[in-house]
Amino acid sequence: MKKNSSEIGKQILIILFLTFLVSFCVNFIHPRGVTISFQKPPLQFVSDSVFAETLPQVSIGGEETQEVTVISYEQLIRLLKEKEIQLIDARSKEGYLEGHIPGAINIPYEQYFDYEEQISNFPEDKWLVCYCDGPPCELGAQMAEELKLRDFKKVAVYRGGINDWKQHASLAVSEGSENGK
Amino acid sequence: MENRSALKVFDWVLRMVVAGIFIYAGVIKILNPASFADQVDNYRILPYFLVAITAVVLPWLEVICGILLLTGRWRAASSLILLGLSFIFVLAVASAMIRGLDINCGCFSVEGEGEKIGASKVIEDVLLFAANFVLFRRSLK
Repeated sequence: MKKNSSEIGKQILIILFLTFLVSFCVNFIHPRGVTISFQKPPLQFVSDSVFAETLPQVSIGGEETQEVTVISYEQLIRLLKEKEIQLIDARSKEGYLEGHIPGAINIPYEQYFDYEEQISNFPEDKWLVCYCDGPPCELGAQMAEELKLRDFKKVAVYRGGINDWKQHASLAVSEGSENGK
Repeated sequence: MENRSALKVFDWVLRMVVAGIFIYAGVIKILNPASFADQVDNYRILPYFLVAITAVVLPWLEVICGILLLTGRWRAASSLILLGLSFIFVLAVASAMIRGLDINCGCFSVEGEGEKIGASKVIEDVLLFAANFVLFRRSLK
């Protein structure tokens, strides 16, 4: 016997109503919830005045992490000019070889355990700035969190990543490997 | 008689597989709605307001309909909604591919480098659409 289409329609309406109710309630309390707005919220950076001071916690992958700093393109440029930085490209080797920020070395986050020796030799007096493609890629943030857990104090994430860099710096990307420099 | 029971087993297996796929995909997105919103935004189809609504609602719709399909309650309604969703997925992925967008699918992972859009993703979504179509037709009998 064919089912009554009005019965199915009623059930669909109930499912949709329940879905909207549950989803918006959960989103309201979710630590990584979506901001409902007409404008896309801008990326949040720390202001220059707190850059080298006690920094706020940032949320990465739904968990509060230990004070990983998020920096903007302008802050990255300042660090590059002052040469107080070691850039770390957390993407895959292929992505890195296609183009990366000049001076960056490649430590793919998903294989970072293969780079233990290189990581242990990172300078402690310089900012270790990790990046990947840019949102929604979280590899840079995850790499930064890993470095923070290894007691590196000056760790930051350039969340805009290579996409943001290309927008600002046009074609100023390096190809090939700079690991081992 | 044998044919009928074989068909029943096929129907049950297909229902479990499709329900499992949607529940898994939904839960992954529910864990990180902000990243899923970025993925939806990357398709450049919807204005940000609708991107945000989609990122909030879609994962729960997948999970709730998946659970209904799994338990066999309101089968026709849940499979019709999933049929509609999988049709939208086919259109979205195909249009991103045609426009040459180099983006992640956002289907089964919302972080990291994920699965890139491509012909294999379109085929995957078409197969999911076909499976949902079969389930919907069978739920009407």
